[in-house]
Amino acid sequence: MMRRSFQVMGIIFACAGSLPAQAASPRQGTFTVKGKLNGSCVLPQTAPLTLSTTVPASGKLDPALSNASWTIAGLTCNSGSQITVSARSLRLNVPRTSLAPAQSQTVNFTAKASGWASSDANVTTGETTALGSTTLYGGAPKTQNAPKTGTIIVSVSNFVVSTNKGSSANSAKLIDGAYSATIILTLTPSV
Amino acid sequence: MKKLLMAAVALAALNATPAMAESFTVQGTVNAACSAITTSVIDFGTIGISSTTGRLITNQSADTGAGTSVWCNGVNSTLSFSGNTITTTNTTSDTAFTSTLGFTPKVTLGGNNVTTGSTIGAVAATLVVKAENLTDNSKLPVAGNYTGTITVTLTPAV
Repeated sequence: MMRRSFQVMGIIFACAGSLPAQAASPRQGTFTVKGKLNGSCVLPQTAPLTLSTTVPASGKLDPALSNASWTIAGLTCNSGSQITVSARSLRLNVPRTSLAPAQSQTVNFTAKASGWASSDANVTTGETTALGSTTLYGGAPKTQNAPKTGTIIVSVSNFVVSTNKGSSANSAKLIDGAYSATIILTLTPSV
Repeated sequence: MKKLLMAAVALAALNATPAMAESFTVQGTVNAACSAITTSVIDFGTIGISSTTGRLITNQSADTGAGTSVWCNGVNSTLSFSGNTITTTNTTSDTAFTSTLGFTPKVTLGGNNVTTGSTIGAVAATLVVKAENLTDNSKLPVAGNYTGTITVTLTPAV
């Protein structure tokens, strides 16, 4: 009797062992990949623009200066950005420390940058004396909301001789010599 | 004396009967399975771009560091992985830019490279996931926070 029971159990175990091994469900892991890319602007020309002219003995400013312009291509900002124009007045390269009455060695002007923001960025130098100074005048920043590649055109206009308070601009005469001004273009990423 | 002798012969006859042996088969089944995968973040940190061109600096990579322990007990278990981009929600209509960066996903198991879909067999090792060679597809990458995923699958098989 006992022997028969063992035989039956052996058959049962044998049947259970013959079942094939099963495979469980796949296991999955999702790894987050991340990084931060900061805002950046690239200006191929980083040096200031220089506006140069020679004032003759007549003291008259070359009218062609108003046609001066610079085309700066290949500008890039990978985020929204602000453009700012800054400038120093047009001034005698080797400035004198004193001038005769009705003489001037300084010319105010307006510099404008077009083609980047929806409205032009500009600045007007604000010298109030004939001697002038090396002050850098900054204009209001103009905003470009999206990343952009493009070209900016910088132009100058509105040349006005700077005179001492109480003098008439029309009566002040520029002393002759070499004059120059600097214009600085700044692109700042907003991110 | 004669009786004793007969009894001894009878006992000897009993002992001569063949012994009865029973053997038992011990069996069981271990199903194929793989461990869960503990995930972590693969962080490029601040992604580098050229200050002169605005393009990505080459050969930027990130990984899971020390990695995580995994195992599979099936001799035909496989490992596969997918995912090769990170994107930012910052977009622009200027086609010079891209909001998607590509990378090459890589996985090592016990320090050895594993190609996706390959059989890893029964193994217990450290899994490291990597995102290598960040690319900008020849465009200027837009600034922003980029995210993406690499999905690793361990498939047990007997």
